[in-house]
Amino acid sequence: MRRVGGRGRAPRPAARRRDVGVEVTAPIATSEESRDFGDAPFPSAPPSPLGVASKPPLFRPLKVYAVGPSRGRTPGNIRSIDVRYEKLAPGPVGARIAVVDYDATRGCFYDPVDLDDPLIAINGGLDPSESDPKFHQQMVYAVASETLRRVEVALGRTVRRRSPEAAVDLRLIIHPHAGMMDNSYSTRDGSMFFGYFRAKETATGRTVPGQTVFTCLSHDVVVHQTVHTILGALRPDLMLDSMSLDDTSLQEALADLTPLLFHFTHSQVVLETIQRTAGVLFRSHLDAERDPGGDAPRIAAEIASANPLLAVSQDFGEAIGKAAGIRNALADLDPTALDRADEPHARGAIVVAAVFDALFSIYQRRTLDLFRIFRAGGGRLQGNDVPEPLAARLFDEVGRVASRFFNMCWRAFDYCPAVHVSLGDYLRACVTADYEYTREDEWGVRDSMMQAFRLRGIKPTAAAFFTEDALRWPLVHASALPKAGLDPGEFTDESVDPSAMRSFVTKNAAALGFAKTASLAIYPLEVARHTAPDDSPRMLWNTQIIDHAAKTGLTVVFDDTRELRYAIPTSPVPPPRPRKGHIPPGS
Amino acid sequence: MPRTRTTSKRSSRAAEATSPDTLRVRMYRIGFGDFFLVTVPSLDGPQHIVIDCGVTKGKSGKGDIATIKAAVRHMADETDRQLALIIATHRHQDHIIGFSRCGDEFSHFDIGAVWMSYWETEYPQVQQFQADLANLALGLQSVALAGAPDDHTAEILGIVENATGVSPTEGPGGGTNAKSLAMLKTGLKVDPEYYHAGQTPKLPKGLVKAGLEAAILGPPPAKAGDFLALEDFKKQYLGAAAGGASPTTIMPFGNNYIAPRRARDYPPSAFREWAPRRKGQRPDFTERHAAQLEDAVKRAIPESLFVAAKKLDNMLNNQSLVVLFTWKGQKLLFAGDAQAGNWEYWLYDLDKRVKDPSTLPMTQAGKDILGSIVFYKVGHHGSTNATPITAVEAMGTDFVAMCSTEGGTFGSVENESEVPRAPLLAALATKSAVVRSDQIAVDVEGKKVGAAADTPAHPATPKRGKFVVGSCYIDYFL
Repeated sequence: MRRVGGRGRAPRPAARRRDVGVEVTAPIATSEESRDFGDAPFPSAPPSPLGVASKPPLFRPLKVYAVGPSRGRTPGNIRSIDVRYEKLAPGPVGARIAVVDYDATRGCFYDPVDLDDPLIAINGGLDPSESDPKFHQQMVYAVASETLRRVEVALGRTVRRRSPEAAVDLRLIIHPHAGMMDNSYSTRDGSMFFGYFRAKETATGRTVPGQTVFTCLSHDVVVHQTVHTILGALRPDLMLDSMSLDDTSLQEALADLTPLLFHFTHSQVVLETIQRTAGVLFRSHLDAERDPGGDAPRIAAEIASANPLLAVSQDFGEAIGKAAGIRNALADLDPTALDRADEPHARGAIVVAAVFDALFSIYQRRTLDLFRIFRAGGGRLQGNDVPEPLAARLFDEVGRVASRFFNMCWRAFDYCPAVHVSLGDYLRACVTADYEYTREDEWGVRDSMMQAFRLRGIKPTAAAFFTEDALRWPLVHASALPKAGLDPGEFTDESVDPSAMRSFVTKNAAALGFAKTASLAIYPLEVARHTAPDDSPRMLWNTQIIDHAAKTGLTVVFDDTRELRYAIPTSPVPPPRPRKGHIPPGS
Repeated sequence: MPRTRTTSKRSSRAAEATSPDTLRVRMYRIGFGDFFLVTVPSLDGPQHIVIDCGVTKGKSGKGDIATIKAAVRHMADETDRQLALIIATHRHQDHIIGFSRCGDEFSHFDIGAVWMSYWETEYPQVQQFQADLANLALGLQSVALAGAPDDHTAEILGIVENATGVSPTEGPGGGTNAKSLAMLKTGLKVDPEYYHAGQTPKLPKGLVKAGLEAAILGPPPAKAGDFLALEDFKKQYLGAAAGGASPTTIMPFGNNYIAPRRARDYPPSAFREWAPRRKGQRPDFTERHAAQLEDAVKRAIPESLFVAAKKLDNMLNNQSLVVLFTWKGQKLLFAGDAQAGNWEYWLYDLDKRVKDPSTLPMTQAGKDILGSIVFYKVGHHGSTNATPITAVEAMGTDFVAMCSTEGGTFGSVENESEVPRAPLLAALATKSAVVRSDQIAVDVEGKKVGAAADTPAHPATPKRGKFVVGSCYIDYFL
């Protein structure tokens, strides 16, 4: 078919990048042709003076392991992630993520993958392979990029590396094979290091003892480290001194919560879990694909397996001899566990369990009607067999709940006190963040969170009552401040004049509880753009003001009217807790 | 605090403990660390010297038995808060934390002199060196903390905590190394003297009148800095470096995946973060700053972290002030935590470090000293890498060796790195009467700590002098 167009070539857009995309312009019509179409049935609209350009794609599909390589090609283990498109140099090295594959144990660089190579791009990225470091580079890039994107969607802004002086662009540096070690690390400067090692003799599950295990191929490990790096950029004040065990515990909690909540976005894994748990997604084990019928299992399909939705890094866990991943979303409900846990990962796991308790309670409540409707229509579950439409609705529902929790858990960081956060403060921050999203809370998210935290012994110290009103940070009364907010000129959607912010703090110093203001470190304001459930847009600004000498500070949140909405003070740091097997020093 | 409060109590106790013509070395049991009180009789009354006061909890977390505050109070009563001399051998937590943890107590003392290692001098180069070490320690700490806990990181964190005096996971029982150093340098109303090997120290008058002489054998001076850094494990009592044995390296990928042009196979933009930053200048983003990147990755691998932590530990140990006291012709050697480099400097009189000095002849002075000592403070809590074999061989046969330690704090028997190291103590026992602090039970101010497992029930009997066990210490009367 021929295109219809007017005379003349469309002018090129001024800022067109030479190397991106293929421009499509209308062919130049000859005079005969236009005569042919003189009274043609087509309207001869003039061409758009700005031309018709095809922009670079929004997303780049890349293949990754959903769990890890040991799952091979089992259903759902290979998935394609739509990564936000950017132009990439070999590495891949882009503006926000750079993968530099240097191996310190061997002292060599590995060949970088060129994801812009058409032969790779056309295939949706390299096919998964353990033996090809280029696939590993692709996977860490894809997973880290996706994690960053989701966190930014939740926060409603681009994450920047903050300091009291400035907030600058964040770039993650990833070393997928930093050297031989059975661990992974991230540092405050944004670097992530992944190790490789020989699986232990006690390796379980699908991992063979002695095989080489790559931590960078474990989806959850990559997400975990990315979260640590993002948190370091987002709230550096909390990482500066790591003043208490709770600060580090909370970081670990979020670094485990994030990959666990991602599991619920993966339809194949969730649907399979629904099928094998009769929709009771929080069961610790999946029933075997085939019921052994009272006998001991005789084929692989008759073996029950751990619930993949609840395990953090099942693959890596098996390689170091733990059947159900390195940590599990739902530990046994034990109110005294918190008192005994004296290690950040273990304490973080209690927070994770509390969040998942709340999540599944709501899932349970919100799917009850679906099962009732199913039964009312004469349906009856045979074994675990959930009919496909019902399973699809359950997947929908759990996805929605998980996404609400994901947003709440991340947005809460905008409402955490400066310098030091206790686990109780985090609960208050979650309740406040969710309140700012929806006042009504028809799902009962906040109440479920409060109950789940309370059952695990996590209580805010300063709140007078254990009710939502008391737990939510109090709203600032404008009349309590000599200057209630910033002036319109000082404060645009994109930037804030640092001197205006300082003068605001100085004028309100007494009300905000600062004796001296000259030595205060004031971080640049960060914007949070959200859409409420009724689709109305909402903007909030937040930042931290820190008194380094007193090791205390204030998190302040401004609303759309540029008035101070919350002023969240740092709670006292609890006395240090003795470690297990350790005699407290001092006599 | 009025001094008179304890005078009557003190004089009666002192009269019991110190006979007027005998020198006494008291080793307090405070856990993994050193706290010694040397009391020299004189016509003006007993003259007291405190050598180190510190403790660390170590890898296992069991090193600190929480008796240091009681021990310091006990010492304060004993000395009536009059010390002729304080010697702080080096800046590790297990040698100095007591000076800040019990800072209130020490601030009421009357002190004649403070001796510290030359490496604590306020010279800019030395300060820079110490600052670099402190930064390295903090870096190690943050990287080790970033990972999930394992045995390796526990060991690294134990070492680093000892080097900084700051605990990463919990508040300290009081005090930090920095505060202790500040106390020693400016808080005791007396300016410290800084010494290195070969210098003649200025003994306070009371000690001179008591007939004490002192010589400084270590640390090596700044020009011989490489003696601090290196240490030769081969000649020491160990088969493998503590826990440092690396598992067989694996090759994750074939050679065909190695980038042939190394960093040049990556675009310069991959190295942007490592471009050196100078104020007022735009960083150079056109170059590949590969060396910086390689260093950063190397630092992140636990094995290299571990090696760095050990090196840091050794450096600080080798800064130890080594003091030889002579009293009535009898020599007492206090070696701090000196390790190979420190010993070799004075035993072999070398200008530069050599690979294996044990093949060289030991200096006559070195032989004379070791051959004639009547007392040896066992270096570094009896660890595998202090007290060289050649030194033990050169020592005489009738001396007393005191080892202030706490079993099960660092190292392991499997790795042949346990502290104190059994073969070393056995070798010393063939020549001397060895006593270790953790073999005595503590019962002080209502606090009771039993003797450590697998330690002898009674101290050996020395050929000269005697041991007397007290509430939280053991005395050696020369």
